Amino acid sequence: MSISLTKISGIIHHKRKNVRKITLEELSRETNINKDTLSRIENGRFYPSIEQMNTLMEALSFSLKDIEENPDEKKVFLAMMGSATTENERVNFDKMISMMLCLRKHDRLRKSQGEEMTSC
Amino acid sequence: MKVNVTDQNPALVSLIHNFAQQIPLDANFFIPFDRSNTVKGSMAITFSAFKKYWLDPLFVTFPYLSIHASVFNELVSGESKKYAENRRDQGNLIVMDDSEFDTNKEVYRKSVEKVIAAHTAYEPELDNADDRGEVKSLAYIATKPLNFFASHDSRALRLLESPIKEKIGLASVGAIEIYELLYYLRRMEMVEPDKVNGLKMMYKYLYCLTKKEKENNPQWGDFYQLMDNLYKSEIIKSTGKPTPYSPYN
Repeated sequence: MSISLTKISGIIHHKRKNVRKITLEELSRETNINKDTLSRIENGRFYPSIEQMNTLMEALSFSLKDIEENPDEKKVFLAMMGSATTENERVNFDKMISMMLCLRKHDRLRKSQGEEMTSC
Repeated sequence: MKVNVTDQNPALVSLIHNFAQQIPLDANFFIPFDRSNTVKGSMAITFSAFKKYWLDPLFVTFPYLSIHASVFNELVSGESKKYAENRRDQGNLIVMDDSEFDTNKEVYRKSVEKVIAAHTAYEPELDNADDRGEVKSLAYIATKPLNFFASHDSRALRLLESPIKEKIGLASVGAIEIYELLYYLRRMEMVEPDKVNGLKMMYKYLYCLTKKEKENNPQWGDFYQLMDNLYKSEIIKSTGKPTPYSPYN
């Protein structure tokens, strides 16, 4: 299980605005978390530390379950592998998954390094 | 690699003021430097020289050196592995294991690992070897949290300069490089006088071997002076220094 930054920011925004109806300043005073940091968390630009996360879960009444990431691609890949009925199918799935992960890896590297990767 | 003798590194300043802090190390700190494949005419440093002039002084100086379990497992070279195992068994090397985290922290660590991995060639799903040690070390450091990461790998160090450090609370984690520790060991007089030349040799091998490096990086004497300009006042103020080498120790 891992947690999603999008879900963290979404639930904090929702609970603060619609449930607790408090401002960022008020939440900041209550949690002792800097207002700018809270704003960055709420805008999905900062992963709170584990201590900040626990404080926010307590202050806004939500749990890890509420911010759990959707089932990741691994499960999709594993499901694909599991649906193979013959050895040949399994080998082909294996190749396809490797290619997909390789493409995704290159996409990430391009984004992070800002340069074109040409070979796998 | 480029040596920075113009800006103070807050991480090194922090170590100058308190040497007894936990320092997570990358695998390359344990593997004898070998530039023989990339620099024509150069030879690899032998393990015995590496141990004498680098590893032993490092372990004599810093009491809380640590290494992530995945990095520890990457040490395949017999002598490096054996050395790390001995240090671990003697209680001189902390092996940082993700299994020590409780459920909440493990969920957090996994999440942070994904964010960091997205900027590297490591795929948590596949658990492939590419960049695994760096990603797992940094995810551990962010979860614990710890203050430093010491590495000689420009890709790993780049992770601490990239936007992710601002995104996942690694902003306070300082990168420490080998040349900074070579200066520290010399300045704090942590090696026997006859080993000072060994530190100089390590510096020269890593930072002043090629023509380009000689143009970009200062020679040892100038390097030491320039580093002193940056850090000497901090060293004078420091009350957290290790005990210097003495023939009577």
